[in-house]
Amino acid sequence: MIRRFKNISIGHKLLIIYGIACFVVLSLSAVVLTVSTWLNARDAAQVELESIAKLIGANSTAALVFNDTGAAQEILETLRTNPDVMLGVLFNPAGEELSRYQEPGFEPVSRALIDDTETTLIDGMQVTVYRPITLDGQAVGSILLQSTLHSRLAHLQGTILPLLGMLLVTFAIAMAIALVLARSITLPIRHLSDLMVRISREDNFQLRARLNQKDEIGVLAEGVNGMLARIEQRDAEIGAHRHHLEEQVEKRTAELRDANLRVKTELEELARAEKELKQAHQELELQHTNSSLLSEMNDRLQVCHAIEDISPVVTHYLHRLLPEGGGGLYLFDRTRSLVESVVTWGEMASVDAVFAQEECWALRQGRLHVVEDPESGLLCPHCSNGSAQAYVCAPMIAYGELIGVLHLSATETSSISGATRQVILSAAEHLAVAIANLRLREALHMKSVRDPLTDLFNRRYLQETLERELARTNRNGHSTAVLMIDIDHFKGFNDLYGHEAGDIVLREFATFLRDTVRTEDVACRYGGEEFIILMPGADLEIARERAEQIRSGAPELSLVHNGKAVPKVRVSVGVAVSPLHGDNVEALIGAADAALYTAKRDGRDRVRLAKPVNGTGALRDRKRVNQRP
Amino acid sequence: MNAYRILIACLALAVAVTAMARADTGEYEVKAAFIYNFAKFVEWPETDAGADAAMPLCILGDDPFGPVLDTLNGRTIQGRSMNVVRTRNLTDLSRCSIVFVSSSERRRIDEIMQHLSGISGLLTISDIGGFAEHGGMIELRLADDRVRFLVNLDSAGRAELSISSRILRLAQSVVAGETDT
Repeated sequence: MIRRFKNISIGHKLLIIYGIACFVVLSLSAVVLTVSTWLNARDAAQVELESIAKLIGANSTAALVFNDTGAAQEILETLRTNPDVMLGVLFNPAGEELSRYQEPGFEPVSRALIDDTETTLIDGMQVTVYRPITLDGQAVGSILLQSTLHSRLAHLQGTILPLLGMLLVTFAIAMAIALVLARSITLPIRHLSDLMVRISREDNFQLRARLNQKDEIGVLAEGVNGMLARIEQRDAEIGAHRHHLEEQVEKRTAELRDANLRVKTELEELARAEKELKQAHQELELQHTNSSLLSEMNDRLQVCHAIEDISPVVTHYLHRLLPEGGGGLYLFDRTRSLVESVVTWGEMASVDAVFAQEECWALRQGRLHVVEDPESGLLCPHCSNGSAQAYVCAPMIAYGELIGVLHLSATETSSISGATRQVILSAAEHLAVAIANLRLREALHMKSVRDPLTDLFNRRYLQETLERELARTNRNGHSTAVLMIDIDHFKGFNDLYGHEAGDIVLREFATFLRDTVRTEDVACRYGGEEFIILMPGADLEIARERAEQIRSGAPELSLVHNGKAVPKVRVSVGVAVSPLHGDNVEALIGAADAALYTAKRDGRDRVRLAKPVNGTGALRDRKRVNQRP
Repeated sequence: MNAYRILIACLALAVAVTAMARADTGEYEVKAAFIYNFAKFVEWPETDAGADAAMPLCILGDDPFGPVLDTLNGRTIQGRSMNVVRTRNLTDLSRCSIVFVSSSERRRIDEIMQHLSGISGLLTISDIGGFAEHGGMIELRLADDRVRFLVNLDSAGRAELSISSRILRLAQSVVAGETDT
């Protein structure tokens, strides 16, 4: 319904709206008028009937009291003058009918509807009034009246019908006026809509609306005209640009396609690069960690004093650098031409603890040897009897000198990556340098405390060691013995066989001394052909026995120089023991020196013990001893 | 509750009056009801005793009503309480509001009428024939087995009594030079 209304023309819409509005207003007025008139008529009829009841009631009291039917009938007959009143009945107090007036053909309401109180009923077209009648405060009877509304309805119809007619005429006039006025709206709108239809059909934007109005439609028309003008202008511009635009579009499309392709490729490359970068970053991080660990290890190695000290450092750091698997550090012993295990850590395949340089491919080639697959790889002989595990051997070479080999075994699950190789190489390098430095330091130290000819400790070392030993033995009550040995007639060797023979004597005798003394004893070349044996913890008896052993053993050395036998070596020995012969270095050595002097004086090739206590004289005789013949 | 009782009493009386109107019921019972009803339609002049003073109903001569009359005792009319007085003495009548002259007094009716004519505010009723013509105010008589009445308005007017026109409409005849409607 509403959809259909939407589609009809504005003119018809306006008419329908006006028509409905007029019709509703007029109908409502007519209904209200009719109803109110009718209600008024009914009220009037009721009021009239009530006043009649009152009048008749008052007039009929005597007739009721004296039960006079005739008089009552006379009174009721007065109702005949009112044509609307159809029924009048008087009842005595017992409710019995005294007299009745009734229009012929009238059907009265039932008495049962009415009780004995005042009642007014309007039922359809009938008005009923019942009133009790009193006299001097006493009920003397009652009256029932009924009237019809027919005459009043007829009157109402007579009034309403012309009114309705007038309403219809008014409606017609209003519609006529609306029709005329609506044209002032519908015509211009139709003009506009016709224009639009023409424009869309002919595609002609040069058409214009021709309206001379100042209302909203006029504004609309002006707007439409302005819009049309702009469209016309744009049309021209668009036409001009279209060709150019098409070219542009084609060009741009091609460019876009290329760009897309490039972007795609770049994106792929970018992703790859990112992946690589991530990997590199991870490796870098690992390398950073490793290098800091390596440098830490290096720092620790720098402060190691002996080869033994480096074992825990190597174990600790290599285990952290390469947590998977295990390994071992093997050092090359030059004197024995063997490679020996120093320390091992982690889970390691069984590798020979001692092996020859040739048994390791890394040592043979002087570069890293990797076995990734023990089934097919070239196994080093020193690893060949181990379980089948991947491993790496890194040679440790520093200053062109072979130091040893660093061995790393992988576990059965892990493999040996490039990073691992790098770490092992670096670790091996660092270790090699550190160990080489350590050895160098040791060698330097050796040089500083040893006599180069005999390789015995020198006088300076003796001095220091004796001081230390004396301090110790004085503290714990032990004794320290000092043997001072001098080769008899050494000047004769030099004179007869030359300095070289002298050197041989000294060297051989030194070797003899080294082999004879205990490991804790310290053998020194004190100067020239003079030697001192320091025996920590030895008492006088032990010292004397050892002195005798040396004296008696020396002649058994068989010395050859230039194919000729050199005469037997004989020595004199002076023995002094602390604290018996002195509790300081000077006193003790002085006492031993004095005893040696005594041995020389007594004929050489003998052992003499120092004299107790007074050693100052011995010290004074020191020069004389040195100038002995 | 009180109003309910009154209504019952009224209905009872109405039934009684209706019954009396028939010929076969007691003639004097009907007449007693008539006397009571007349009192409702008569206006007495104002007296010194006031509007709520008693309303004595006097029976002159033999009492033909019997005990039915005593039912009127204490009944109020226009705010006044009715009381029944039986007497043979004419001098007693001056304090009555209504007098019923019994038919036993027919012989001395002239003497009685003469005495009554001087008393103001006294309603005179009798069933003696010719009572209205002789100056009585209301005369009761029987016609077709029904009790009817005649009214002498002149007498009433002289006694300063006003009888309602509603009664006059019912009267069989009215003796009057003028009516007070």
